[in-house]
Amino acid sequence: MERMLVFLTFSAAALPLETDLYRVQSGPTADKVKVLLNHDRRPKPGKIYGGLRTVEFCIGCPDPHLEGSQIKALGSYHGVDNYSVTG
Amino acid sequence: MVLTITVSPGSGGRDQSGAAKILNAEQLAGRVVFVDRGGVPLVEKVLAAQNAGAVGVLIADDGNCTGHYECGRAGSPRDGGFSKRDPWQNWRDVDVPAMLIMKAEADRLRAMMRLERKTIPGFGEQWIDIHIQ
Repeated sequence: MERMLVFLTFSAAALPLETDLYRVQSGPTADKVKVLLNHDRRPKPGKIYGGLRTVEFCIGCPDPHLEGSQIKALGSYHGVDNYSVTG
Repeated sequence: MVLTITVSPGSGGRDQSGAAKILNAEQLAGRVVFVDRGGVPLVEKVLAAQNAGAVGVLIADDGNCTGHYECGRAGSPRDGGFSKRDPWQNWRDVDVPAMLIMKAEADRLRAMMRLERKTIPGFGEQWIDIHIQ
């Protein structure tokens, strides 16, 4: 079997600049994912797992609460109690 | 939502753990920030994102949480959340919400953002938006 050797070389000019790198990583698709973090820490009767929160998210939609999916998340024990942020 | 891109201390490589200087700080203002767990205490990640102007932080677990958010020393739902063992003083300056999500859910979000792990010469492994490659 004939062997093929492939040499990969990278010139300094081919390396992405630091600024280019993070522009690539935070691209347009990532920007379209919208997340809603919403919670108030009022006690609810019968609630056992007090640390769980809900994250709502969607892609390319105006309001994750109306059209998004939900996943459970573990909130922080300390920090803010009541919040509703989208970003 | 936006990823944090940071310079890891010592290694010279970059990652999304929020463990050091944030390179894309100007992109975090007004956004919910997505960071990887690991490297430094969770509260430091939250504060770093907050100081960059983030309105919320989603921390992606690295696989240490098992079952239904049983995250060992980090905490569990029964504890009332993560970082319960932290001194409250460490969190007194935090005024943005922070949530820890399971690795499977984090992977799902990464898939929505069309991120793939790639190695870039000189920068180590990165999450790359494959949509614009």
